[in-house]
Amino acid sequence: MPLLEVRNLTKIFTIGNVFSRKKVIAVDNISFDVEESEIFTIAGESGCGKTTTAKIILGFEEATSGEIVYKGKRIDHIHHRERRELLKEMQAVFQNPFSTFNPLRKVDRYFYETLYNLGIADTKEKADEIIKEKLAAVGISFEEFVEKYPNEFSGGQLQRISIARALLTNPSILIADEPVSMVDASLRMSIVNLFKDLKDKYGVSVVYITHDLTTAYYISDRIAIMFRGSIVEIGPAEKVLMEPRHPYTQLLKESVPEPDPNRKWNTRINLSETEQSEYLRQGCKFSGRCPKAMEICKRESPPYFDVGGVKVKCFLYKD
Amino acid sequence: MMSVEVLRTENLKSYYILDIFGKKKVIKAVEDVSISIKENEIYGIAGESGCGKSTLLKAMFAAVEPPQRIIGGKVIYRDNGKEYDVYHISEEERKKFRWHFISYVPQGSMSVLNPVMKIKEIFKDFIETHTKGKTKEEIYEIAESHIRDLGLPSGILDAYPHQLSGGMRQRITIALATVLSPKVVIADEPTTALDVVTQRGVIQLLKDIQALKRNTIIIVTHDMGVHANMADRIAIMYAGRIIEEASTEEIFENPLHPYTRYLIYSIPKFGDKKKRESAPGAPPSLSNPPSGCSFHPRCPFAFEKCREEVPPLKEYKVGHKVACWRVEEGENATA
Repeated sequence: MPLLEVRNLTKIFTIGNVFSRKKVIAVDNISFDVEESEIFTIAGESGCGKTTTAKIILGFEEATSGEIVYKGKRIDHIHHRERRELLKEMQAVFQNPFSTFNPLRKVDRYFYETLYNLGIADTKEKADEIIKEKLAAVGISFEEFVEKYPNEFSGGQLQRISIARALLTNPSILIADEPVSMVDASLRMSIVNLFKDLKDKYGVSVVYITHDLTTAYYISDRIAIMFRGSIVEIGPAEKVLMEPRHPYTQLLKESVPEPDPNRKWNTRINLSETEQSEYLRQGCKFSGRCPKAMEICKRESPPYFDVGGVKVKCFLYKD
Repeated sequence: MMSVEVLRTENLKSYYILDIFGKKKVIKAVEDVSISIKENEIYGIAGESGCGKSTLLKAMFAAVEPPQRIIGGKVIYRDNGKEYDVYHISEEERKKFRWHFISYVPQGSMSVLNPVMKIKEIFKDFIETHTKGKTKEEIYEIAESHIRDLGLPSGILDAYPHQLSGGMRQRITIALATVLSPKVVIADEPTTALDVVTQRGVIQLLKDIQALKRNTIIIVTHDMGVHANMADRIAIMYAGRIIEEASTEEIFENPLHPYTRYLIYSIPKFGDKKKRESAPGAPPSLSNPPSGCSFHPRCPFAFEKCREEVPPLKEYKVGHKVACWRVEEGENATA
């Protein structure tokens, strides 16, 4: 049984006012599983629905339709009290560590509060012990951590601390939304390696949400590529990223600037002018930019086709 | 090949001087920077946030506002064979250089467009302020032909900024900054907030402009992948100083400074799952930089001299400059 299952999840946002309403399908009927002790990546550009998906899993946002199943039990319409119990199992790491913590509050207060409120520790000694253990896992010493405000840490340190905070409850799964995009380039890999360690040493599953395909390739077991609300390709990271099948995945991979001056781009690309035109498009949402678009792509939304263990949402792979 | 210099800095020092409740705080953002930028090249400046890149750009653009100050050194512009020391000419003269000779695309510049003005009005506003005696029709004509030259759809001139995507807005600000055909274009993190596909479009545009107008582009970003794709030469900045400078090929093939090595070797690549390590420790604070070489607390090779003396930026190979005592020692050992 998978640890986390997302079934036919859809989220529709209504924009505009009473007189002119428009519906934007932010997440369009997506399904995926996350196994135990697995790093599952959701990758895509901004506005593809990856953060909305994370918010729905965490219960910050309500789905329009669809199910979220955790360890065989539905968690999308649970009571406040059950949600709190669930927090012990599922924790979040956010993009900007400086906005995760209140700047006027010492960082260690969050740690004690989490431990006391969730009933994990009842004495200061017990709490200190747990905190020390979790800080050691992220490579921060207890002495440099206590009695400090968020601004006394660097971005990289604070992001490690926010990961340590997420680990306090011994979660089985972490939902990490762009955890490295605000971290300095020279420290980025230390955070990425940390997720890998957590999986290898503690068996924690990670839902890694990112726009950075190279770090996704580096750490993930499986990957889903999202485009304008749909998963267009899903499968083992090695297969999806080394031999991308969907034209969008191909474009995305090719657009990653490689740190190698001998491999500069030699082809040109077309960009869409506005974002909304793609959301409201009939048929395959990529058909407006796709070099291989056929007549059918403009009329019908493609189903998933299985190509060597990878599911691809594209008519090119019809039989 | 010797090419003509267009802009140079000589021992440039620029600090932020803050007065917080009577306590003076000095942030040494740019320390002894001497770079020489040639005509018709793309010069990349790499470094992480808080290393002084943006401060250096502002000093080069001569747009220094308190608390930033120029403490020492010079910025020289070279226009039509004549040299101008930017901080020793009058404000009037300085204004003439701005946008005509040198232009600046600031960070997060897609939010600089006025939301209640059509794109063509923004162009009109901009051109009117900086050139004299042009009619409305002439200005629209200039804007339209410039937009067309850059391969952008001319329909966008009638759009409002909010109707366009972030990438298109970013390309419009770049078009705006280049409409007066400046010789030098400074772009501060032009692709940072953009998606990879859009980023590629913006880089494509910058390269097109360079090919079309044969001007100089100074691009600042922390993304080494972008530098590899664009720049002809790269300078690596760390804690306010340039620590390495060489041609792009040389930097990627033969990085000498330990910090540059970390920067390049820590980037994961497709098809290679080898373990990547970040540089240990954290970037130093510019208000209280470490003694000697500012990288020494994080450097695995640091020795006594690194803690005491600042290594000079020295040319060890033609066109390849490094500031590192270890390279100096190695050079002495082989000599």
